[in-house]
Amino acid sequence: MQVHVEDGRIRRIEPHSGNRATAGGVCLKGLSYVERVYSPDRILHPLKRVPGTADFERVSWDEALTAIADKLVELKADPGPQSVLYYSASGSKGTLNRIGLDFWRLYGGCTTTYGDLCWPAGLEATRLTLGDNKHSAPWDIANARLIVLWGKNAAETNIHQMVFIDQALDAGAKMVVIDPRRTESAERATLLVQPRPGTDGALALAVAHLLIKADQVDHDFIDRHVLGFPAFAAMVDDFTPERATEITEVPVRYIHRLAEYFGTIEPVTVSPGYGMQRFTNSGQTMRAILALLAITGNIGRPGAGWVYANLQSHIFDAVRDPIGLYPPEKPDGVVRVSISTARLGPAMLETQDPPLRMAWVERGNPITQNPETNTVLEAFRALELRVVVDQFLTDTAREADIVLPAKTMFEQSDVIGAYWHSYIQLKQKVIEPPGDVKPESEIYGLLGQRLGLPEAQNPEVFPVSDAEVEAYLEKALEPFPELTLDRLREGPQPAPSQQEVAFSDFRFLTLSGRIELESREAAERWGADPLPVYTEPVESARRGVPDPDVFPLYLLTPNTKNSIHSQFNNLKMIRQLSDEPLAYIHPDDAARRGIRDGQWVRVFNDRGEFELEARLDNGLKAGCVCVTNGWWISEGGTVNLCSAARETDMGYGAAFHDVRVEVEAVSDA
Amino acid sequence: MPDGFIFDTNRCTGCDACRLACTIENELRPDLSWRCVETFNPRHHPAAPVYHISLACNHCVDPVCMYACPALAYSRDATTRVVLLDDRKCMGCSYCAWACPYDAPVLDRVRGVMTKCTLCAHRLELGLKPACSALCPTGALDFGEVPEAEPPTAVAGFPESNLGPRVRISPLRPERLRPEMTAADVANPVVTAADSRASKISLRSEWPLFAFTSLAAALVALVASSVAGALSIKPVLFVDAAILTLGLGALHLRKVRRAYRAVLNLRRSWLSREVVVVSAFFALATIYLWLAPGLPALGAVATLLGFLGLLCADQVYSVLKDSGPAYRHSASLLWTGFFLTAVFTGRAWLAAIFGFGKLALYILRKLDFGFGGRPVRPMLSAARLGLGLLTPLALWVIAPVGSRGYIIGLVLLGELIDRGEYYDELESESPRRHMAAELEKQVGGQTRASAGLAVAAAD
Repeated sequence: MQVHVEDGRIRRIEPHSGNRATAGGVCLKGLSYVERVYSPDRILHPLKRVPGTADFERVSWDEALTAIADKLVELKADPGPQSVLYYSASGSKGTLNRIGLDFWRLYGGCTTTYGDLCWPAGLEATRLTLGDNKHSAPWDIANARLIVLWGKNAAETNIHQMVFIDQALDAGAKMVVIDPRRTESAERATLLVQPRPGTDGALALAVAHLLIKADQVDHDFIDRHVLGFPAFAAMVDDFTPERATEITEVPVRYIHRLAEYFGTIEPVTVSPGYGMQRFTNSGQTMRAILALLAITGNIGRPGAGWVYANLQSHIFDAVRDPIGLYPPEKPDGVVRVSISTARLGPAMLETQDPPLRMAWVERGNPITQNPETNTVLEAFRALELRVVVDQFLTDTAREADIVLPAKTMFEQSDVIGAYWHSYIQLKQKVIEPPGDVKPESEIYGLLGQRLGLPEAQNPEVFPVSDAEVEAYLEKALEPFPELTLDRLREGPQPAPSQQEVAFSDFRFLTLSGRIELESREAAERWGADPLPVYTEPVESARRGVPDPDVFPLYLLTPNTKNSIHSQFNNLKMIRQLSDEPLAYIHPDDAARRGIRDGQWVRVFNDRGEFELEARLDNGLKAGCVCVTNGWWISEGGTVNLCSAARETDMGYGAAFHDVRVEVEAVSDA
Repeated sequence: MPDGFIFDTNRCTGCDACRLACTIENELRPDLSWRCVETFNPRHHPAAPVYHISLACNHCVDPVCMYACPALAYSRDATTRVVLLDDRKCMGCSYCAWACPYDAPVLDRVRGVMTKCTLCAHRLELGLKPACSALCPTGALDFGEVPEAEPPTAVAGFPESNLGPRVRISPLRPERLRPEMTAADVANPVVTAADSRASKISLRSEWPLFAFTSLAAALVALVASSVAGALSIKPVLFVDAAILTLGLGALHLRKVRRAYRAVLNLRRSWLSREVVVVSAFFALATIYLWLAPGLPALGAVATLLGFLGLLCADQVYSVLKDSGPAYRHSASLLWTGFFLTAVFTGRAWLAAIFGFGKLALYILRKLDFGFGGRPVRPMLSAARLGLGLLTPLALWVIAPVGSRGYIIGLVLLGELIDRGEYYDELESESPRRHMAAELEKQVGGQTRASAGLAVAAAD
């Protein structure tokens, strides 16, 4: 994006024409930074909790850092540095973020997390199948003749993709959307397939069954590039559409229709969403869907492929995700990577030798965003000291003893990658941090000084001034001669050796060097079936868990265009668009419960509950209730109060979409 | 025709970037935007498509907002033909918002003035497009030459008008109408939200106008009755009542100190005419009552001005195209003025004509509501007709002597109920209402399936 600054203030934000993927415009979250940076709610000074109250008082950096340093010295001596939890999530990504872990290593160690809330099951499924997480350039989807948005609502979560989808549709392409909701993206589709949540794998296997029966597979491609086709074909042999209909609740004729599209139209691009890979069976689900592209030869060609994760711009990572998210095979004894992000609450409470005594949280809001909010709260409240670095008093910051003000992306330069396009970009500092705000690199340096760390004043470790930051970034760019800060100042640069059409060289970095429908690694690493078999999610009506009479509804917790999880919806600009959380419910489900439109309802299960306003939605699949995620506890509608701390079947992802609830009307109090 | 907005419903995803672009570019308060995005079929009725229309000011060839504004706060740039609103001249009467079918004028509640799209005139000067169209991520909203010959649009949600809006909106292409859905069954579909047909005007929001017009009608009738010799009025009381009436009328303004501006647009605005004529009536009637009670000619002129003022006051509401003409309404101020005069002067045949006339108009209206699915409010109707019309007329026949006080009291009560209902029933045009009505037409049969209906059906 281009940021216009007038008199030292950000005046407006516009798209950067040098980024072909996003040249059309800036999404509203991006635009709203104009408010976010200057919001009266922004934290501009270190804050310290007034003991025994929920209030904070402004303190100096010196007072805040001294208090933290004193505690760190104490904990390092007893029970050891690993009693400190360093929790960082995915806000404000950049190359400088590595400074955090560098600090904790210098301190002597810490405990940290493995896995990720976002998308690891899909990453792992893709890695196991294709060998690497990359996809074609964003604009290549315009070449597709069949686009399948499988569990993805690009219109809300990837607005720039819609431009290229529109180009494909204008040229006569067909689109299928697979989603229990009638989403904005579905309005452009020929067909909206609405499966029971968590059953997408069964749908894919039945489609594969039909394609193989009709011999609408690409034998030549399979022979050259696919491993395990015979075993896969044998596995789906009895996965008939009738069987899938029983599981997915999608009528048989539509499964035939979907198979007919896959079998007769090419090229096919499948762009899966993240939502459906947050179930306990979702690694296998993603592998099953990927198999459809593999057996029809829709990999490595223009207009074809699997548009899930494009990590070609992640050039600074020593190992590419999802491997980078896993606990190291050989622990180094300094950083203890022992807490599952998906099970943050229970895992923190279970930790011993040493137990956790302090947490440092940055770039994240685990209390509302990690599964099982109540347990996460319990775990945080059991600590002796909580430090949160943030721009706003989020639910996590409100639990802190010390809150340190965080910079926004305009207040320190950094080099960033992406996960959809493959540009490397320089995010230039355009304004000075307001108030007492200091970037994390400086915070860590100052804290290091108080701890007497010899490296604390080394700008190569903790860069502070603009010149030091630029030198740090230049050094990070050294391995890539085509990338220099000067080049990046001119505009976004394509990542070195990025592929415009992914896998066009048909090189797959799997164990076999082929696309693996049958994966030995899936079995060895995850104890999963080597083939993408279908199993029911843990919480499922068919399984009877929990009792479908007690908690009969699936809780869908998608993202909206108005926020990125719990970010942005505290801004007034965003609130003018969507002022309160809503529970979308099918009119028939509502009628059965005597729930009127606009009525206050309680969403609950045995893990937690929250109350909010009901909104009837004909487009939602009956049996589901939908609340967008990210609402703060103070706003109501914090969906993770009901989710469970469970991992996905592979990738150490969070299976927090595996949630069943009941909804009841709340009498007007 | 000069350039205008060009909008493609096929491209818009309802992302709202245009709204924020407007807020940011024009440095509006963060919760305010001059652009709105309306959604057709927001509840996803399976029989209808879902699409959005992004609307701001269309800078019409015939800007009704400008014509309606009593304060001459509106102007039109001679070269660009952009319709501009000078908020330093605005009294905050909202009359422009009543008149605009596109909901373009936006009330800034904090500052108490109306504000609206300037077409980013400051950007146009630099050769740039308005911010909303420049920042549309999908290319749905653009700005450019608007073909004069074509009609603006046939998209449901865009109120058709003869105002010459400078906008072109492409409807959904046939293949884009809606997806085939595998789980489309809904036994009790919800069509529109209960508030999707809400009017811009209600008794709650417009109570000063209710008080002002009701008092004005009563005062005109009193003066007429006094001129006819049926009663006498204490000048002091009349002056007090007149000041109170004007004061209540001014309460409707959010910038009372600018109330003087209400008289500036006599040429076009019924609101200006109302204020001028009613004020002139008060002045003349005061002179007549106080200084020249012996000049019946002056009294007659004052009375005439009074009724003319009531006519103007009725016409103020003629900008609300979705509401019927005033003369067809039982709470028309002119009819009320005549009726009250008949009651005050004790002229039975006149009272009967206007009383039964009002009765007929009232019943016709409520029947119309009943068939149109609008709330009828039978208890209020019973009070208005039974207590406010039939009982006093019956009393008049049974016991004309001795019951005059009751008759007048009941008649006034009935008229107040009717006038109160009038404000609650005024229909204003807006894209949202237009969309709701069109959707109900498209999905057929279910005229107004509210959430209540869903519950009823389940029971």
